[in-house]
Amino acid sequence: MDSMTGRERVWKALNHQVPDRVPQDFGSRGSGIGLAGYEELKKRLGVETPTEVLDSRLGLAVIDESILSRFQIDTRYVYMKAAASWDPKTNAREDTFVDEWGATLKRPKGGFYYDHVGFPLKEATLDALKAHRWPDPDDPTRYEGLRETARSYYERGYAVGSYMKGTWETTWILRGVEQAMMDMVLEPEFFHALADKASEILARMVENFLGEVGEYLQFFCVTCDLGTQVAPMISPDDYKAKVRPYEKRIFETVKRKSRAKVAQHSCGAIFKIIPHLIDAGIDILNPIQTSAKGMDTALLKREFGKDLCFWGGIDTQKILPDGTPEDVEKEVQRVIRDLSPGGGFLFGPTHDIQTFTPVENIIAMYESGMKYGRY
Amino acid sequence: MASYDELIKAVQEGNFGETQNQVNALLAQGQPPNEIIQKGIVETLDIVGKKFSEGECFIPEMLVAAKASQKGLEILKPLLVKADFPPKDTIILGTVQGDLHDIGKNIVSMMFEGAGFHVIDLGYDVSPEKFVNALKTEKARILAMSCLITTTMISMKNTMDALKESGLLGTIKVMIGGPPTTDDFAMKIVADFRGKDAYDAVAQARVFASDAASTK
Repeated sequence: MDSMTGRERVWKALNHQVPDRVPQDFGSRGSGIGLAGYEELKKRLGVETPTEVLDSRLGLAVIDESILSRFQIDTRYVYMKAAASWDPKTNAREDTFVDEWGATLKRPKGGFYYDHVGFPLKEATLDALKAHRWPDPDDPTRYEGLRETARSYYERGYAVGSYMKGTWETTWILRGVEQAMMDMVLEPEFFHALADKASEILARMVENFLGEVGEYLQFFCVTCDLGTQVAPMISPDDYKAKVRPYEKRIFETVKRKSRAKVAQHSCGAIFKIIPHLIDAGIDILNPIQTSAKGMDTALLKREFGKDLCFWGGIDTQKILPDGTPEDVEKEVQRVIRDLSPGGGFLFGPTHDIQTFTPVENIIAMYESGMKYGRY
Repeated sequence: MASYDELIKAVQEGNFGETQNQVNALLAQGQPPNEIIQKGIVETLDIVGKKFSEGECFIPEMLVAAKASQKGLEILKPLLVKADFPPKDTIILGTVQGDLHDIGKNIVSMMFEGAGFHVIDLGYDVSPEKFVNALKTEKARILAMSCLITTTMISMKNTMDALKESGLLGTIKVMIGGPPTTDDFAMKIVADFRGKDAYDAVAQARVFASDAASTK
């Protein structure tokens, strides 16, 4: 029988203390499961509740409470919403829509999620930045009902978390990732102006959001992908000078408006950038993409475990989709051994669990987490 | 006074205007276009690609150098055609069906071009049939496929099946690349090579091209 609530367990872990067992995470926008995979999981576990969509862009399912409780999941999530006035200009024939920033997303035929294909500021100049139709962070419909949701999770003893796309990734959807990266070298003035504007809006959204749910929140995650499979996308110096100031504005808002720990999500091989993330004020690193070069869990814990909590760690790129349940169990054991000593570890997948991942591997992952996670 | 050092510097810095100035000035000094490509463009992209491979430079630096090299090639390529200098070989390239990610593919495409290949970039979400048709129409001997998403790796396998069905398999060289790909996966689908980065891909394309040339 567990002696702690999920919130107590997560909070202890996030404060580098040892809880009764390693807390477990599943079902967020960064640790969720695709709709098709979820149907398989439901079937295997005998769950008949109709599926709700958590995120239509990513094609993720809301995980049924019976599954979350079976896997002893300690976290629940609350997210900012789109403004009620947002018109997605959905085009069913092309399978596209337009997001609140004015970027067009498309789902390829047979694909599982929508990706950005149209960038509203691709050709833009400094003047066009001013004329762009920016989302209104003060629109109250973004935050309606969120307090009640967060409070309900809180009162039921869960650790409450949230996610938001950060400034760096927002510049990609406005400009296109290729152009945004070239701006860093060729148009630094434009790059800074765009990042400044985006982060101003995002920080204001965070401020409003936390005004509603801040008292219930244990962690807030900003997504800011900085790694490729083999190396950081940008130099540590570029991160420091051109990305960090804008992400930091959001991190500082989180700290000012709540007691929540700040998490950063970044896929990829980012070992060299981690010291700068710590300087920027993050408490938690997600998702620890162990399949990327240099993301060695033992080394990460040794080098950064004093300053950082780790969240994720179970590989969704190779081991979960391609391994056997025995491979998964071994990997769980290894990752827990490396990352859990002294607390500071929230167990979960390294990304949303991909469609075609065998159900028995997902079950093996969480059952092994329970088996080996006890302190 | 133009020099190869100045051209290399301009390309590395991603200075489009200066790249074209240097190319024009070198031409005015009587340097042959193929030599400018070799000593200016190919040389620079090799430097940048190697640095990237060794973790000394990153995507933005690589992108701007690749784009600058294209600016130089805009001037040089038509002159090569006039001088009856055929490109090394044709490469058909694209991101596979179901995948809309193309930054890695675009970098590789520009690096191939900078290395003197004739590149037909089919873009993203490219169906197996489209790859096969392009290979046939262009009589290309190298196919390069990319993907970012784990679930679209199956499209690489489907393309290999389509190559087999069309009778092209064995007559062309296939390379794959992208974050979820591995050497094992390449072997499993019987692709000839997996590039671990753009530099690696270009080096292998050169090997393919010279193999093809020696069996002509």
